[in-house]
Amino acid sequence: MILPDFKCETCGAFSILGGDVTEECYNRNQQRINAHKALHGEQADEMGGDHENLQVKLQTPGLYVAKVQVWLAAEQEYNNGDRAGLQAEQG
Amino acid sequence: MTTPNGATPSDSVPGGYGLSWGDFADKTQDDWQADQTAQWNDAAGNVLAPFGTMIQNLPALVIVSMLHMLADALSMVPFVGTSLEDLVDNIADGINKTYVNTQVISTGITANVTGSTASDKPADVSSAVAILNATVQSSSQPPQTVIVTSTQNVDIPTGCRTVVANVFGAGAGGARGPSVGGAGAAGGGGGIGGWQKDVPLLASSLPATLRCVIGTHGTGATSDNKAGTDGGTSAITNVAGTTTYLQATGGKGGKPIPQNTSGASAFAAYNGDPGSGAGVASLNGTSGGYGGGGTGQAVTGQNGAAGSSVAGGTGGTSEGQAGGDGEDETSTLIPGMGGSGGGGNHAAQFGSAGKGGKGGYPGGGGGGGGMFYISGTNGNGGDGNDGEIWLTFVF
Repeated sequence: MILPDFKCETCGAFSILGGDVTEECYNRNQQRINAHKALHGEQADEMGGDHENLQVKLQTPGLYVAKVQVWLAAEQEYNNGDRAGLQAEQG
Repeated sequence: MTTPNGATPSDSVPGGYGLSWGDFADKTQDDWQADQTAQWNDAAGNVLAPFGTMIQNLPALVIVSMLHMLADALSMVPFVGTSLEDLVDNIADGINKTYVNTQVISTGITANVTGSTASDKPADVSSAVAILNATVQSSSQPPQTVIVTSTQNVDIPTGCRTVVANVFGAGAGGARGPSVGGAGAAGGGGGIGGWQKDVPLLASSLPATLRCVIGTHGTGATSDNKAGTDGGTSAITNVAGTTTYLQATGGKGGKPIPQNTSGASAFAAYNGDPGSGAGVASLNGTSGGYGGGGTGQAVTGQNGAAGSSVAGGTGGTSEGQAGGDGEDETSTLIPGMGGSGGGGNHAAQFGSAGKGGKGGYPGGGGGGGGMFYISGTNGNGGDGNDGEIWLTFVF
């Protein structure tokens, strides 16, 4: 039976090249694919279900770090703003 | 010395990074190199010592690669400024700040990496290292692993520098005993396929397309006094198949055990030999075990080289049970061997024997078929399992 090629869209780093294989081989590799997808499912859950962000993290870790830095900078700016506002309120 | 806009040597260089124009006076190329060496020696005295030593020992080719990596990293730097002069000034300013603080890392390299000033953030060396690592990673792709399950051509991706290959030969089939009976012993188990483990191949030494040949499993014997067939060889070759870069041979088929054989040491001679790898870092598997003897005592098949426990067939009250299948070992990639079939019952002196179990994946050998004691039929040998190839492309 024909096992179609699989390339993980989430991490882009895991592929199975199929072809005309036995039923046993087909089932075994379907299990591998399901297990691989389940792993990413758990990783996405840890990131609040954000699959798109997980994809960025796994495929382009540098860009992910840059995104995190932007978030941290925004958070810092927000905190600084709050502090300034608090100081202003306290006179 | 000459300074721009009539500045004196004691005037600070614009940008506020702690240098005056006097720092640049009368420097020759040798001076600059001596300064650089001194700076790295400074770095070697702090937590950057391994990094500084590594940089000093880098060959030119690696430095070229690092410059390309820097270019990739700079692609993430936001544009700040309205003119080319502003952009260059800002990049130079940022690089200079990073340099200054790598010598006084305790004041906070994280601040430099994130583009803020060093003074308003605490030191966070581990965070900085993590960010630097991530930045280096951003200049390249993560490794890609490809599992090849059937014989086919595979293109090496653009930019790949090293191909790390795992090649598994196929497992062989188990034997079936003689027609005269065999005191309830089992036929010889098939051999495990060979394994070429984690062999790195330079992509520059390989063609753009590889031919991946997957060895087919050997089959268990289905008639009396026959050996199992050998497992096929798995290999990585060029497309024409004229050059082989890596191969792992299949296991050898188990051999039928004569009627009067007894004792584990005598049994072992009838196991199929394991396949072998032809290159470095090869790891041979272990041969198969035996099924239950005529007394009904079960004998457990041998484990895979590092892994799976495989139960042998138990001697039956009238018929021997089939040997257990070898487990697929997906974490260690070392398959279990098929358990051999249980022999016919000794006390009752009749009863057919069980068949050998199937080898695990990839490349496990099949168990030998059990043999009847006085009357009955022998069990078939178990089939081996196919080979496989794993390729990891490193960029």
